[in-house]
Amino acid sequence: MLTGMLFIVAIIIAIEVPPLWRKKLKKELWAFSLLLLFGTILGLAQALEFKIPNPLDWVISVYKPVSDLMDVWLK
Amino acid sequence: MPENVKISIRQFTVLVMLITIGDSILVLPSIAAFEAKQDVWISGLIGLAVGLLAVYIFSMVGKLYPHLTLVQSIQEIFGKWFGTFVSLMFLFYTFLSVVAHTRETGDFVTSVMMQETPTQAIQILFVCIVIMAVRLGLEVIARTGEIFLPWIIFFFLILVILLSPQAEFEKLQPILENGIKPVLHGSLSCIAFPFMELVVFLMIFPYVNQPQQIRKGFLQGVLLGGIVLIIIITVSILVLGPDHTARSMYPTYSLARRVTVGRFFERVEAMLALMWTLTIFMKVTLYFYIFNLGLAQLLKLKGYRMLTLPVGLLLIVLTPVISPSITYFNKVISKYWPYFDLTYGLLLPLLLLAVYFVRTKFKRSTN
Amino acid sequence: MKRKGLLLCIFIILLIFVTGCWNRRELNDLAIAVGIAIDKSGNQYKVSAQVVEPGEVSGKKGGSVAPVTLYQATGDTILEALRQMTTISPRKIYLAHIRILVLSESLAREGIRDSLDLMSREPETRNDYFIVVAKQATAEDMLKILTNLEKVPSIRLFSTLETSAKQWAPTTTVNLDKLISELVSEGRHPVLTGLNVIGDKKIGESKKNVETVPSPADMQYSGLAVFRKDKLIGWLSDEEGKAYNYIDNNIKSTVGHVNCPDGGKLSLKVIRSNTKVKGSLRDEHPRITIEVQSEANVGEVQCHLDLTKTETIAEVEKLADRKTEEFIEKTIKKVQQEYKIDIFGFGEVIRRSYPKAWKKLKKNWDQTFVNIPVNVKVTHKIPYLGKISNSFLEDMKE
Repeated sequence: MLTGMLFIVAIIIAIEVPPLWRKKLKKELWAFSLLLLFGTILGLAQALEFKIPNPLDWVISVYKPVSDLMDVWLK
Repeated sequence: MPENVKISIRQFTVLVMLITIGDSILVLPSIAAFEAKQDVWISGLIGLAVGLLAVYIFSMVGKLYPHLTLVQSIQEIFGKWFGTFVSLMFLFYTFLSVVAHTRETGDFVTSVMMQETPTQAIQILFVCIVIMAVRLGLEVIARTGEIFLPWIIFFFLILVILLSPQAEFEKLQPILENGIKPVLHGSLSCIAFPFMELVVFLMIFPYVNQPQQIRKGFLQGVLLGGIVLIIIITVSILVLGPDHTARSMYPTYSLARRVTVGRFFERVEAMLALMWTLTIFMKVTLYFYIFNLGLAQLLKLKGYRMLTLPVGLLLIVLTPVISPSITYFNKVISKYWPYFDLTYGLLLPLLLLAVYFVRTKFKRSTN
Repeated sequence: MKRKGLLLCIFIILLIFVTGCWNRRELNDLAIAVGIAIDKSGNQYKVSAQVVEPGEVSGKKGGSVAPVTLYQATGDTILEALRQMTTISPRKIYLAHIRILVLSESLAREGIRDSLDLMSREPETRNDYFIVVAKQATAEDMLKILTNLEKVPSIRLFSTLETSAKQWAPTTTVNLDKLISELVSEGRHPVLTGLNVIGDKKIGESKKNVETVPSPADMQYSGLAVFRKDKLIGWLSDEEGKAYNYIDNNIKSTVGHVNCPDGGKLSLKVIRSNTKVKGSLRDEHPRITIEVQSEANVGEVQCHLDLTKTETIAEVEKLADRKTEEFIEKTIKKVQQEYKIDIFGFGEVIRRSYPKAWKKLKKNWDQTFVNIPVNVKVTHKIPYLGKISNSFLEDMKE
């Protein structure tokens, strides 16, 4: 899992970085690296079985009042 | 953002139709029938009516700045800081949609077809193809849609025609057994899943080669897709009954399993599953494309292609995170997701229109 | 160039992963179950699976081995029992091709709902098999008898039930979806067809059973099991079963006879039949009207009747109407008085036409059902007489 993950990251870097580097697209390179870093960290956290916060929980907490209200209203 | 692609109005209509069908064809009958029971077809009709209205609003928003995508026009209308915030929220929504739809695909395959295959294995293969399509660009996606459409229609017709002998019209009775409220409750998901999620099309309006025909094409696509959905919903009720439709996870798959002609043409559900695999693929691909495009435009990057692979990685990593169990996921999708859709599908366009008109008026009076 | 090499690498790696399924199961790893029987032993389930012997059922004539084999295991749940079979069977039991599910009567009397969840949840199973109850017997016995005409007994059970429901009517084909929808319905209780073994069970289990012209043992469907919710509470006879199918509009074709006015019998082949069950409310009291329209041909005449006269035909039609009405009414009476539960779906009928009144009625529907007035109206049409008009009996002077 862990090695597979790092292997994939390596492949992604090998595919994307050289052309970006050659064209000197600094900003693009930054965006790419940050996203990849974020993905890698999350992936590693998952592989090491850390608990990652679930974005859907946020969605629930935002919309719970509306949903409950609708449930009562349309009962 | 030098994104010099153009798609024809016909391709646009086809895309709209396929994405309206999207994943709704698989999960909508069950979610809506849970509330509306045998009246779910009425919910579907309400959904379509509201959906057409929503699409009308979308096209109005699109006309404000015909050469800008949604992310760009948000910033134009709301100003830099608030605009960036709203754009980020919108991108969060699209990304979460991609994750949820990918998860849905994996869940479907593992729970009914290949039980012991890890969901992630299926998702990785799926996402690889999605990334490939997105890297090839919008024109390729649109052309893919054109190629898929006849197949989807073909399988859809096979399904409906072969099931028609099994339809029992008394299953529709009694109409409005528990009043109109459950029907409205059921129509909420019928409005949100197929139609509100079309808000992402605001991102590709500038790439349509005949902008003046967008509204017509959009409405046509939605109408066709909506009719397909209503037919599927009605057939589910007629063949499976309201109770079974609400209880099964994937009613359309149960329908496909019912197909039998004589004793020789049966067990074809895996073939018919191709129909919604294709529509879901189109939906995920377009969403994925729009997320990458939107992010690139927000950050003012030259092109979006270098973002696809890291975002794909993030997507694969997040799919297991968002759904600890199918019960949790189904609950979120049926109870909370419609409001999430409504926020971006209804609130955001209305807000954009309101702010735009207030601003232009304000400007005119100061001049 | 470098890029191309890299892509090639990815391509080759992908090739390894996408060649096949994650966990493929070859045909020769599967034990294809065609019939499942569930018995209760104590608190545990005794599950029997009839598995086909692939070599024996294939086109080439088989040898001395039986075409099917039976695996049995006991477990706290049905799934455990099924998996426990792997301790006996060399292959995993594969459920996608079940033709018949037999439940024992004792299990049915305790309640069948717990047995059905697995069948509807398991992705392998489908909805194309029939469910029957072993009448006054264990379910496993039903899968032990070897049969002729159709080598695989479960397939034979399936075809027998299908044919008899189509041609003879007292039996009814119930699949899982239908059973479950009747179980959850508030206005209807389910029924299942009964199955028992006739003849010598011991010989039936061996190949000898198919070696002689009349098989020493055979399986026969008879009667309908009446359920209160999911518990078996009694049986309907064949004639009552026929009445049930008339009410449920399940008659495809059947045969019945009428007594001629001068004694002797005349049998009628029903070729089409359509039933409409209508509900009405009078001062909040529901009533049911059953209208049956049958088309029947004269099948056999054993009495003196002049069938060349239209009046005679009208008379026979009347007789047939009366007779059918009588046994339908008798059956409804019996169910109302003896079993006191609504197996005919009258509640569903009321629900469909009077959803508002139904909300009040449904609370004690079964009590209401006992006293519900039912009006049965049968109309027969006799369009054809067969190959001959009057019977030659007419011209045979004694």
